[in-house]
Amino acid sequence: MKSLDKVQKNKNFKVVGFTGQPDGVTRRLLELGFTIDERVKILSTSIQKKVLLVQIRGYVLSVRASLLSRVQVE
Amino acid sequence: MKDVLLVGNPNAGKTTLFNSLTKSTEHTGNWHGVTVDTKKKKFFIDGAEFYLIDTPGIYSLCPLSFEEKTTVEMLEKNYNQKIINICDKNNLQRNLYLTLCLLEQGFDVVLVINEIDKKNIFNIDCQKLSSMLGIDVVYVNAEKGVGIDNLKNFLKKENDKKENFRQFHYVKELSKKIKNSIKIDEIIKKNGKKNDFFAKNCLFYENIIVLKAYEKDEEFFKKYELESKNIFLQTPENSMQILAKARFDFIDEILKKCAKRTHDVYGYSKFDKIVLNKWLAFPIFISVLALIFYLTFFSVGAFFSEILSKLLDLISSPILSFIKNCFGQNFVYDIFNVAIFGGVSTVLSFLPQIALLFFFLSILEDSGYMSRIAFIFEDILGRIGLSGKSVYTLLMGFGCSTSAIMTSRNMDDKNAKIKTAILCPYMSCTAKIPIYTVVGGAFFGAKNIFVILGLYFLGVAVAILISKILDVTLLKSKKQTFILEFPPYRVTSLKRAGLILWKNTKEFLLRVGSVMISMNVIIWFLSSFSFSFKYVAQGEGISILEQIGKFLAPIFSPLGFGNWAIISSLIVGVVAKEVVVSSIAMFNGIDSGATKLLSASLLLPTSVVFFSSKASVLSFLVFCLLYTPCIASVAMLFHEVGKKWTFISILIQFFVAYVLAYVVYQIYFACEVFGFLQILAILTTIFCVFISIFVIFRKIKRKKLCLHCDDCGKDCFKH
Repeated sequence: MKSLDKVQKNKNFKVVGFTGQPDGVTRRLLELGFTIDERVKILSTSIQKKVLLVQIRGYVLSVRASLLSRVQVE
Repeated sequence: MKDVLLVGNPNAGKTTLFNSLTKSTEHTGNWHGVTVDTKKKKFFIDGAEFYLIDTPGIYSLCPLSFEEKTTVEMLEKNYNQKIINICDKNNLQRNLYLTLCLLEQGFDVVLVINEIDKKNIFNIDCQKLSSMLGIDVVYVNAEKGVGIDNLKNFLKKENDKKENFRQFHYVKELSKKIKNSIKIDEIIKKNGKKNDFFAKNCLFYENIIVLKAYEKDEEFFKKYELESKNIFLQTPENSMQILAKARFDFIDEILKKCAKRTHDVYGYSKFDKIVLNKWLAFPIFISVLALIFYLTFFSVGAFFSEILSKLLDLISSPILSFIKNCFGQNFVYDIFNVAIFGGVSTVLSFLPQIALLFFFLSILEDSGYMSRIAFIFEDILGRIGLSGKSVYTLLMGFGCSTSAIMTSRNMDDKNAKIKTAILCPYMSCTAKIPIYTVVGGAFFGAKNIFVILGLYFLGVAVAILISKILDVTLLKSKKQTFILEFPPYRVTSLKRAGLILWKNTKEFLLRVGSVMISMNVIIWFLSSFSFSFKYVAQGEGISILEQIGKFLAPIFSPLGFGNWAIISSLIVGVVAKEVVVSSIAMFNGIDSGATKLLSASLLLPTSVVFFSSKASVLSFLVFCLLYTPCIASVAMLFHEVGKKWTFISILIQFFVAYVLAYVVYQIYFACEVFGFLQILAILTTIFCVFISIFVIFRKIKRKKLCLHCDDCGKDCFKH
């Protein structure tokens, strides 16, 4: 199990859970489709790797790495 | 007369549909969060009057940012009205999440499937979808107006259902789990806000409380004065995840039956591998901006400006001679000659350049490149307490500060919002183009291109510096929730391009026709009459403006422009920046729109607007770039950030403008006296010393920041 900000680019992973207190940001990630068992893929990273481009549910999002560190994948 | 509310995910095409239904030309764009406020407009269906309300995009009924809160409040206020829920056809899976939220709460929804892109990700059977959700479903292409009549038919239909609550199977199952352990009725009866319309009609429906408890929506419970602690304890720890999964599973179930997926990914293309490449991203961005500025100021824009200038001359000459013949060469002729034709036509000749810059910015906005820019800049902007989303606001600032300030609402954090709004005026807006071209062009000739580019860069650099200072002092930003959707690349249609050009041209002409003509007449009066109301145009005495200017001259003398006419033009420039050039034209008695003539007049030793050296010109341009923005921007700033921050912002702007204009004047002056290389060597040494001190302090500070990891900084969620 790894946090989503630490995984390899262009490889498929499955969401298995969230870390930290459930708050508005977790809720937003869930609304955007980061639900349990959903497949995710990191497509690209910004220069300093602080923002990641994530493919989920057939569309693409750019999300700050610190937020994706809450998402646990395997 | 009925209200119809238009809601949907960001970038689903709400404003495009709003324009189609109400025949409006509201601003749209291929970017998350173009609409930041609600808009209301009348439209008719078979003679019956309706009001359509456009709202900022939302993902669910739990708002996170300021503009999302506006939409949710509007929904609650208009609970008994019809709701158009627009979904992007190619992103249906995520868009339907909001639809479910609306249906769970009993809103009367008409679902609109909008075809934004030609790329077909889903093939949808609307009838099947309609029967599965139990609501009307319409297929439209909002931009082309396809399916609008169909939509109108659904909107005029009266809702014959007693209630619109959808008891989806997952809602029933989740309710069962906690209903037994908690007495919801008691919670509501004891605590609920009973007089609120939304509360009366929706809140008391017990499942809503259950769903809100699963969502752990504390704000909702607080707002309706409901006891949350107990019910939150009864819900599972991962209740948010359970509910979201249940909703998405239900959506998958629906889509399996009534839609067929034909493509894999939406929004990301092979082109992004180049645009987002770590070595190419910044050179591409700088090249795009350089191309826009080149086309605006020097090739296309300059060509059309020249033509318009000659055309205005051709028009004004016969009118002026007619007035001269009718009234003679007295003050009536003077008003028309100097205040109206001279001043206004000078600014009018810049219309092509101003319209072009707006046009290119809109193309940029429509292309989908804005989201990519936000992605590229998030790293840098995060360091100065802003978000990648601020890029949109700041880029729009190059067009017009007033409308750009308004877009700062899409920030999640209050401090980041204030900072973004405050920084907008530092982006050189189109209204300053005439100042740079006329004044800079007179003294720097062909090299003025470097002066203009330098001014644009200076504005950006000052904004970065101020943001950083505010971030470590008064406006510390919280952890930013930068989550941004990537839209697909799109080409602006000719119709939309024409509309943008027409809209900006109309706005500019209205500004010139209203504010500028009246301001010029006021300036003419103040510069032609003395305090004893004596006509002093022939130099028989001192005019009101001259007296004020001379009184303030000692303040501006250290900056190299202690001339009363220059100071007066800066004062009137607070009304609108275009007035700076028109007033300069008036003071120098220019009676035509030819900018070259005005530039040449500034070089004459007899010029009323007198610059003693190139150093003073540069200092004046820097001051114009940075000092108090126009009155419309100040009003917008006041509206967005409040009295306190507007006042602080004006103070900072004046201080920064004064100090930097002084520094530029002194450095340029020193370069002229001691030589450029010597001054450059001194400045480089000072700069290196400062950088070294900064790096050392930063290293010490970083070591103290987090004991658990090396580079987590303030973004660290773990430690």
